[in-house]
Amino acid sequence: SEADEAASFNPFLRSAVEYDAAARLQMAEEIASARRLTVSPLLKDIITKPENFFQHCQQSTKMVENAEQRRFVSFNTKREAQIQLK
Amino acid sequence: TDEFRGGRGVASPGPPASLVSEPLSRMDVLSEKIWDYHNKVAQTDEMLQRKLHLRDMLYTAISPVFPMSGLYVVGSSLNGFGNNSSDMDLCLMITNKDLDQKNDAVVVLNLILSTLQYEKFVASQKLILAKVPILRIKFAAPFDDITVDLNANNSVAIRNTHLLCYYSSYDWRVRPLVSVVKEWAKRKGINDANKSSFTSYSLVLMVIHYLQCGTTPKVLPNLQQTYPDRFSNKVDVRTLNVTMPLDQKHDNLEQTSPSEKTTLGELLIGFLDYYANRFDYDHDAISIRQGQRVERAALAARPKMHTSGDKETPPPSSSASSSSLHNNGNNVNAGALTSVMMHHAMSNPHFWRSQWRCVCIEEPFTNSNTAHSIYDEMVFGAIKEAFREAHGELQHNHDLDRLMECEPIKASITNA
Repeated sequence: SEADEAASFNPFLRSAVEYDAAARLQMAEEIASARRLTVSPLLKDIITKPENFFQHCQQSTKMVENAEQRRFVSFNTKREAQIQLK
Repeated sequence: TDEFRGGRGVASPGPPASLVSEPLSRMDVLSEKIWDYHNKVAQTDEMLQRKLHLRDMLYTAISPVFPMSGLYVVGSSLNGFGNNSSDMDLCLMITNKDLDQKNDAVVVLNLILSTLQYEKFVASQKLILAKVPILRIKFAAPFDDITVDLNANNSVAIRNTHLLCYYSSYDWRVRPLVSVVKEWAKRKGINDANKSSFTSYSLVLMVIHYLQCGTTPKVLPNLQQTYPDRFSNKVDVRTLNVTMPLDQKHDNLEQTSPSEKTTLGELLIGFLDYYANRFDYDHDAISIRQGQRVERAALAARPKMHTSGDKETPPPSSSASSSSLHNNGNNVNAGALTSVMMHHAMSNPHFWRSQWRCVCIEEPFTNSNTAHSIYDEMVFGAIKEAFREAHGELQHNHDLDRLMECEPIKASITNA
């Protein structure tokens, strides 16, 4: 699973397992009927014609870097404030 | 690399070498203790990294079934107010439309549940049926200390995570203040929505509101009003990007006021004072979106949201009413609208009582009350008393350790 991580950064990279739209819809319908639920027209649309919602702006490396920067800045401004107060 | 200054995008030159060796004793003891406490409990980079790694592993497992979906980290793991406890909230985005949470979301989460059961790194799963249903996932080592709560398409969580991230780093005092307030509330037993008290989210909004309205000078601006293009609920959640600094052209807080002069300790005492003595729970409601105290009757009277749950996408009307309220205080239209709706809400006492009874905190992107779990008068009374007691004590002793050694409130829920 370590190796899988890099793959997740690209939404269009093919996974080892892949289902076509019909297979995905069938899975959804089986699961829904087993639980007395239905696959609504909207859900059917989402499953068969998926849109791109990939978390492009939330990629992991960027998020870690950003958190580090924010922390660094807060240490810095705290120190500056302290100096002002003296 | 230090292009951020509290998220405002001001280049920070970094401290000169001569200042790095400056003794740290300039701040008063209470402020230092708050700061130290915060640094002890705040989410570490390592924890964030592990959570994001886990998110990526989950995405790889889910994407064959929901190709091109988005798996977004929401809540405290990413909003800047996280501590090192290891819960991670995730939101699976599959559509820009409102996903029906009663049926469609449950189907989606069941589909994911059945997909993940074949993954070795997943130890157990539980589908929790609530207003916003969630799939709770626990993992095998080395991720066995992290619990994930996954929802389907509850996009407002992405918006408020994004907003809170900018508030959390707007000023260096915001996060330490939230850290101690959360811990105090936890020890006091008032940070537990299951016991009809505050959620962490409500506590964060209370601190932000105080820093917007309860301090002189103000510590925080109203970001939704100042940067409508960044924080409107019309912005596509796919484009929300916390790595983009805010431009500074509208920011008039720092230039006009040396708000840095108020110490962290003073802010904590002020916070307790505000909610012990200055906030009128009977008349006032907290609105981060409007950046001010508002009449709770006006909030409670606004139309009930059209989707299920309090973390839902906003109704179509909400952005319209928000812009009229924001228009230089000219809220004539909103006022007229409100009186009509007030009549409607008054005639719906169940809605009034269940959502807006005791403490009123408006969710910044929906019309709901984030503090709606406080419906019990006994608990409400105990909470107010807890604030009064804590304020009296901290003002007198300036002793953070003593504040934290508090006993939980005694009130039991009178009628569940």
